[in-house]
Amino acid sequence: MFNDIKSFLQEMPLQHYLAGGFLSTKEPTLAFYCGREQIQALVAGVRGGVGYETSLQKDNDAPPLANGQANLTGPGSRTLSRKLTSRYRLRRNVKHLFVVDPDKKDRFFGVDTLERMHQKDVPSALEEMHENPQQIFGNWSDQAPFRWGIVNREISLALETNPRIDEPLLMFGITDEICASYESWSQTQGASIVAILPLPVAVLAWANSTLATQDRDSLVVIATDQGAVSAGFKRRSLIYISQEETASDAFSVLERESDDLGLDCPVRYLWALNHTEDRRTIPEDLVIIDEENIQRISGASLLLQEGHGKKIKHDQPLAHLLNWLVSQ
Amino acid sequence: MKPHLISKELLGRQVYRYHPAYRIAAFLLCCFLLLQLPIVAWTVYERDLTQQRQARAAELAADTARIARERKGLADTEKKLKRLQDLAPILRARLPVSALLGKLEQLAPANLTVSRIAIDAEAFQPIQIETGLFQAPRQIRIDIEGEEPLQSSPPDPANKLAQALLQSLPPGSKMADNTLVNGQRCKTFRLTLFAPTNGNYYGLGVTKLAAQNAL
Repeated sequence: MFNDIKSFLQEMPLQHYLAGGFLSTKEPTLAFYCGREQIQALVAGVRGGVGYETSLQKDNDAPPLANGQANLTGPGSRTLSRKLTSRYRLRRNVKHLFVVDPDKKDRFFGVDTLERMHQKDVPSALEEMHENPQQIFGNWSDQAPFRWGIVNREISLALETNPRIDEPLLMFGITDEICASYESWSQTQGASIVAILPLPVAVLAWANSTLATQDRDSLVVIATDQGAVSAGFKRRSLIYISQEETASDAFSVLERESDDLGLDCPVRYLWALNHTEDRRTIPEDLVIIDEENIQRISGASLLLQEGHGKKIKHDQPLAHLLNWLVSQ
Repeated sequence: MKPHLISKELLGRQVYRYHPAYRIAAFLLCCFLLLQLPIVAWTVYERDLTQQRQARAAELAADTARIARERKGLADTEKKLKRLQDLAPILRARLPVSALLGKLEQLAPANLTVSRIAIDAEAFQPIQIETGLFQAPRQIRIDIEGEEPLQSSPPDPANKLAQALLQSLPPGSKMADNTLVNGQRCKTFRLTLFAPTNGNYYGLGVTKLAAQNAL
């Protein structure tokens, strides 16, 4: 009891309280996408997105890049979060949400069941993954400590996961060093953190919530700066996930695996961060989630203000993804 | 959204921001601290005042030391002045004899002959000055004797002189004797008056010194 009071007095967020934290916990969210060379952010108020910043990596006080590399210049007179809340006329207390696209060696995805992991529930599985990953994954050789997350087969990011022991689960992880760099940066901004999500997991959650995965089986490939991630959904349930070098590799692997997965005429989706890959190498009946058809998928265009003050249509898949995430 | 990949330590700290119990506790703490502000302000003010007082006291002590040093040089003069001041009771207990005689000359009627005037000090009190003991009078006795014609105009000039002199003497003066004896050729009179030594003698025509301490 005494120690609790002592630690509360030592770590009491007084500035947060004085900026209105006593009365309200409804705070604006700054959703950052942190890639290998690029950082974008969606600024959202209580009613959703209000602003979009496309190249924050140039800012002196930018968050770390996906490899954990931080700008060492420092914040100057005002922090980045303070600048953004002033620019979009939002309250000073903010929450950060990080969607990170780390290097392949710094991230992990897998689909498994509690039964195969010899665990009885999710908390014990998470503890075992943290303490003894070799026990869970068998051939785990990575020496760097990871932070782990588990979501249910529908990839509901908001819900507590309480599955049956034979249900597939999505396990994902990012190295502790990268996550700690975002926590540390947020602390310098005086903000709290909602979550740190790997980009492919965020996209799969969005896809399973937005696309028609409940009507037909689906194969989703997410192409980012760090390679491709392929996933198979059987009527909204994630049953397969894998990391490949390119989108075409991912589709090739999915072609080979589709019979084993038992999918019935699956729809193929491609969510690409950049359109650099030669489209001749990817299937023709593919639904590409891009600026042309995102309006049909999401239901509306995103009209967001930019740094110069004008409201502009933002129909990049990433902007829609960040806008969807802040409402979760 | 669940706080995926957030450390337990950070989550523990974030509870302070959002849990109602901690927010209420922080609010109460801030209110309590706010109520302490007047006390803090008063303490600061008092400390400032004390510093000012101490500075003033130091300044005064320095002045006192300076004055004491300067006074040391005046010690001899002070000693002389003290001696003069000690003489004050003696100087005060005096009778301006020339003024009294001048007044008698003015007041005495032409048909009155003054044959004897005696002015004497009485009722002595001892006064200690340094190592000496002095006797200072508290009362002056004035005896006047003379003659007046048997038939004079205006009548009874000796009594008139006595009354006029009594009015000129300081308050508290009194007449002790006013006798008139008939002779063959003239009447002889005898007046005795007592006047206090510490009274004012302005009535006799004495004027006040312009500056008392011009010594």
